Amino acid sequence: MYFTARTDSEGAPLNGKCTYTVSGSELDARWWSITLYKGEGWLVKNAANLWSVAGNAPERDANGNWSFTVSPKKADGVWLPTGGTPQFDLTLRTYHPQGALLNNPSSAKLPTIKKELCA
Amino acid sequence: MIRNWLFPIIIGLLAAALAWQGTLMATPYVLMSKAMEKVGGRAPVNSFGFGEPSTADNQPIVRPSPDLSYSSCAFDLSKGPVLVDVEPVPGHYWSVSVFDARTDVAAVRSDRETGGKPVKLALKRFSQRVPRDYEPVQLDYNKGLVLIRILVSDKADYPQIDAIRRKARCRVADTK
Repeated sequence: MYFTARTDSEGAPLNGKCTYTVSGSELDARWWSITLYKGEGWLVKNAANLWSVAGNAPERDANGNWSFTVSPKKADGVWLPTGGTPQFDLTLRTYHPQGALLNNPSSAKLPTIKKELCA
Repeated sequence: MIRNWLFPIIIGLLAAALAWQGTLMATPYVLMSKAMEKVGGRAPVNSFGFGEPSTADNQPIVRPSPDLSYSSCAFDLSKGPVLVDVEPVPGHYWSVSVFDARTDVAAVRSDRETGGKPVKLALKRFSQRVPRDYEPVQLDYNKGLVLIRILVSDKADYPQIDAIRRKARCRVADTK
């Protein structure tokens, strides 16, 4: 099951010149990943050759919450480069989703995308 | 005056509606044909091609996942049923999907359903007979695409996954 975000949590289009914090809690699926695409759905060239963040990559806090950074420049921790593309989307892929995520996806608690700053 | 234009307007609207409907009906076939050209074109018809990992420089189709290994077989049932054999990849999510010429999914099998056993599918038209040890998948069209997706959650596992996926076979059944 896939979910795609073209805007941040405030409704503004995702901009490759901005820095975002993507955060969430455990997703009820066997495995998940978040991939960054531009345009119709193309991976973006970037020096780090990183195009996705796997569900097991970000560290969890005591409550099982996680976060990573999406930005044009390298960030501390788990980082997903925008490659400076003007607009992009983030696609969450869940493999073998279960429970509410599978049966009521419109009300699933999905990750949030918070804009921090723009270049 | 309006009466003089009424007939041409109705004909024009009908032509536009027919063109719209025609486009809607043709779109899935055109998309699938393009996908078969691009993805299935990695190998001859009725054989598997094994795609390299998706990167910004290797994107044969839109919205590829850099976390999945893709293998594909463009099939043609005009010469007989096509047998598909896929080896399991222990400890990894993997799936086999069969798409028909209209992009409809005819069958999906994942590691969860197969319980560690190989997938053995026989793609067939209504009148074609298939070997008993293969699970029949009946199609409404001769052409389509088989897609194997394997999750590569750790890049260190890729050589092992690559070796297993290359055992997959797609071939016209010998029914003589």
